[in-house]
Amino acid sequence: MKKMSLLKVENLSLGSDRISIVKEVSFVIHRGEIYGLLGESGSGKTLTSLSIIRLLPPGVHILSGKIIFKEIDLTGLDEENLRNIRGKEIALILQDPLSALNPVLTVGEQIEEVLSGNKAERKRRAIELLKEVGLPDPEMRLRNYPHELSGGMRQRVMIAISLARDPSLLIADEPTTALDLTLQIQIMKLLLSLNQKKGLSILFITHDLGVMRWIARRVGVLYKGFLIEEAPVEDLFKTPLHPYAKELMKAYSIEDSGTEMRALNLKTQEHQGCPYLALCSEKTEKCYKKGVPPLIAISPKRKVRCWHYEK
Amino acid sequence: MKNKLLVQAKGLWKSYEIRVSLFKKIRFWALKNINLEIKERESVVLLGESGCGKTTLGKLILGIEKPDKGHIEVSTSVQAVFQDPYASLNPRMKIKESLLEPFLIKFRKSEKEGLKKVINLLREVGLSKEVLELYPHALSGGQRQRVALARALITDPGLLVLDEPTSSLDVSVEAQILKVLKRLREKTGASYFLITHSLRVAKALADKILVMYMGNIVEEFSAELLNKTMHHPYTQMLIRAYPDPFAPSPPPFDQIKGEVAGITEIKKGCPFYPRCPIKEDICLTGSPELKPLSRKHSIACFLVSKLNHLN
Repeated sequence: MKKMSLLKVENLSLGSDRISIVKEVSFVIHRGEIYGLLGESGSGKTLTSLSIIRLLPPGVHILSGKIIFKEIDLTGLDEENLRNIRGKEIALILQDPLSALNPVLTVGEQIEEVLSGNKAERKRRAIELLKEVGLPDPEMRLRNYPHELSGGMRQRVMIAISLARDPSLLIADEPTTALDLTLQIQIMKLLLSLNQKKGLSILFITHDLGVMRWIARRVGVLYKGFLIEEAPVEDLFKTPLHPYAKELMKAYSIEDSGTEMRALNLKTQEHQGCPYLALCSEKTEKCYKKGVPPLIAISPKRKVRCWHYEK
Repeated sequence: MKNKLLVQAKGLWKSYEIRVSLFKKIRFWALKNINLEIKERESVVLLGESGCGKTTLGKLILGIEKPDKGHIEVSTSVQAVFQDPYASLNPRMKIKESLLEPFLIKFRKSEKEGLKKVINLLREVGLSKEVLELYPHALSGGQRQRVALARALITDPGLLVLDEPTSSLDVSVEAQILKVLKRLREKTGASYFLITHSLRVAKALADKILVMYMGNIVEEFSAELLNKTMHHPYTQMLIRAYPDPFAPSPPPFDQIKGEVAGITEIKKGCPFYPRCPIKEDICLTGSPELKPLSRKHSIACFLVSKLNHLN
């Protein structure tokens, strides 16, 4: 059976007029799937996700590529049509729920704002949503202001708001990073159950290997704006292929990391070749001579951007 | 030979006044009856989630805050490294000036001697001489944290208080800093008091682990006992909530519930009572005291006999 794709990002490049920050990134999210983008700070994972609903910061725009959502190319849409997609078809939750919520409106007002129908209906639906995201005493919580809630509760409220219009894709950008360990796992559980019960597709973005391992089904690894590896999550963690992915796994289990003296070059030389060349421990002559490696398909499910896998 | 005690604290209590409404203030106990010993060459890790009082305890050791009750004796020089290397270095001072200043004040020696030591220390933390003439903005987060570490070490302190020194860093950079910390401890013989919320960081550096929950130390144990003995229900919850990317199976999502009570809703009894999976009526009779199970292990729980080994 062929899986239906919900979102197709094709050769997407983002940047300003002078430099590109995200470079020819391509990936597909199937219906009902949790797809993960893994990367460290500055790798371009947040920009990639924001470009989908075109909420890019000033000065950054789409340089080339397509973003096809349900057969529509979002890059060609005007503001008005895009507004019908934002929040309704594609919802977004961010790392810091306190700055995403309005401090002078109650939880109830902020959820009902998004809903349609008369007052009683909206209230009923708001309570339903809060129940769905596992917030205790939803009737009481409707009257609370964001500052009266804990970090975990605020993130649940954000998720409730994002679910209000029944979106088919949820973009979750580091939704657990600001939370304590014991809350992080509860938010992970909530997102997993929304995925399983409602078939909600999720684009999950994080730098945390542990969170990524247990939430995503397939993962794309970003490095300096390039998608350098893509694999089913078990394969990526068991046998990472790209030297950077290998290094990342080693660094996470602190003990085995042998690369203490890395990343100390104050000036990272810009060159035309592989983005990981300067830090790579497996580089050979070939890597210097050739340019940026293409994304090479190793198997139907695995791709890697490294000259060593060239056939 | 017995190692000398550097820090000895007995029955520390510390409170803050918090305004809950226009006319009402409440007293919030950030630390309750804390006993603490740090020996020469020992690395003590304080593990806890946000708001549990771990930073307050660090401040008491540094002498930035005074306890309300109890007394603390520090018989060595103490230096600190904080979480945010962007805030802890003066943006208007060159790295050289930032590093030399504490040296010149403490040792009253010549700048030349100072510079020699500065360069030596920079090498120890993995930075080259080039950074001396730079301002902090020219450095990355990991490089700044190395500078902060070098600055803390320049006065030859007997004890370093490290308050979440790697939480704002990328995984690969974190691994590097932890390695530097490990090596420096062996080399300088300084004791560490490391404050963290991350079990991974604790594992990497601890001789002794203290687990804190709502101002109480609920468990104290030798690091080698982690996971090999019975643990306090809260410690167990922390261990389970840690999503290990290389574990054979997912973390037990269903076993982690609840969150820390708000400061206005604190009731009598064991602070962990509302979330404890094994609670009984006796737990409401008071706050359990830390009782030794062996020389290397103490737990504050009324139901010690009911605690199981994790595995």
